[in-house]
Amino acid sequence: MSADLERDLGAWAAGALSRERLVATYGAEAAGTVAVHDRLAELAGGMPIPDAEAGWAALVARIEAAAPVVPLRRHDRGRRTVSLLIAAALMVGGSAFAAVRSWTPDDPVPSRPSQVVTDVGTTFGPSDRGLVPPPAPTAPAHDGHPSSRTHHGHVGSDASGPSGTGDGSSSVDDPNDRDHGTGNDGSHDDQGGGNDGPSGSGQDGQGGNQGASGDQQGGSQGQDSQ
Amino acid sequence: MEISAFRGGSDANISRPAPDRKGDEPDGRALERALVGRAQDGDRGAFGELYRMHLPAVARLVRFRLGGEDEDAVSEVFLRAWRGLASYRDTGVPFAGWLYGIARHVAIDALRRRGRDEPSEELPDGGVEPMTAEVMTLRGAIEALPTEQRQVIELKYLVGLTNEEVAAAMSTTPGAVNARQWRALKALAEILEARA
Repeated sequence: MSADLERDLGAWAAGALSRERLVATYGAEAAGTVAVHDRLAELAGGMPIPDAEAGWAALVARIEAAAPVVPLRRHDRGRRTVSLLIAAALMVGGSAFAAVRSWTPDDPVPSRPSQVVTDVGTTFGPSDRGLVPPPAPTAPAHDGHPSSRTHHGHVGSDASGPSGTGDGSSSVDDPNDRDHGTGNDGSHDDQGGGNDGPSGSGQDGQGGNQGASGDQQGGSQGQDSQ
Repeated sequence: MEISAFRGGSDANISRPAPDRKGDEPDGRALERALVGRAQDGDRGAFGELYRMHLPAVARLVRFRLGGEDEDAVSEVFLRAWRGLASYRDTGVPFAGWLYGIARHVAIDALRRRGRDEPSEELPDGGVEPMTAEVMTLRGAIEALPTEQRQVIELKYLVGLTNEEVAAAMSTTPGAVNARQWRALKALAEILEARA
């Protein structure tokens, strides 16, 4: 649109220029613009307007019936992050404090498996599979309980004899036990290999396969810390 | 009303609107300010006067945007205005311009409720009444305009603001509003001709 046309359209809108002169001067370009102007003006003027009093009455009813507006509380992100961090810290700290308060060194193992199994058997009746309750909770190792010895004998060999039988299950512990439950005992120096005896290398490092009788089982797994 | 002066496309002076809207009277702005102040203080009667004063413009805008009469949407505009009246500050923007912003949002919400985000530019196959067809045709063309030109057209023709009021509402000068108006009209003419 040229500056002259724009200026003259403004003049026409202001009543300083007639439509005929405007169209005669600029032809179809001005005619199309004026036609759109006429259509918009006619459209706006021809729209029906709702009844004001009825509309106002309906609006008053809505105003009176409207629930109270609760404004949204919008916290900024920084404050929200700090709040979340504080809440998380309180939760973790509280949990840790509760755990420390409730724990004592004398606490036994918390579970009671034998009671549980018994209860199951009582509840569901006898079974062909014969539920066998597991052993009762054991005390810590090195307490001289046979079960602990039996358990530890699997991973080492008890050198009760000069040749080192390696049979941890049948061994009798030496009063001067130094094996710490690994099954090796006595004056051997096989480094946990389970071989001990006159012909043992004592430093075989290969699982004790060089002993007189040859420990083939227990010695192969034993790694005495001594 | 200013819009009524446009009717018929006569050669009459269309810059001086017919004073059927109190806000256009010489002391109309002062009266409107007083009503707004009283309404902000909780005077429902004052808000009722504002309602009657601006109902035609809001109804036109809503009808134009939604393609048909929707009294609930019109009522929703004024309900939101009543609730948000405390946030209105008279910084030179006419109250009608503030209502225009609310009406736009209400129309958008209404369109979303109807399941469409954009107004359809296609006429239904079953036929519509002539006014509705004209509304849809012009609305489809106006939607293709740049935002500033579209706002000028709506504020000038539907809301019925003067160039000075539109300039205040858009934070620009009356001259810029005049230029945008005629550029928009020329663009509309080209769009409508291409779609004819």
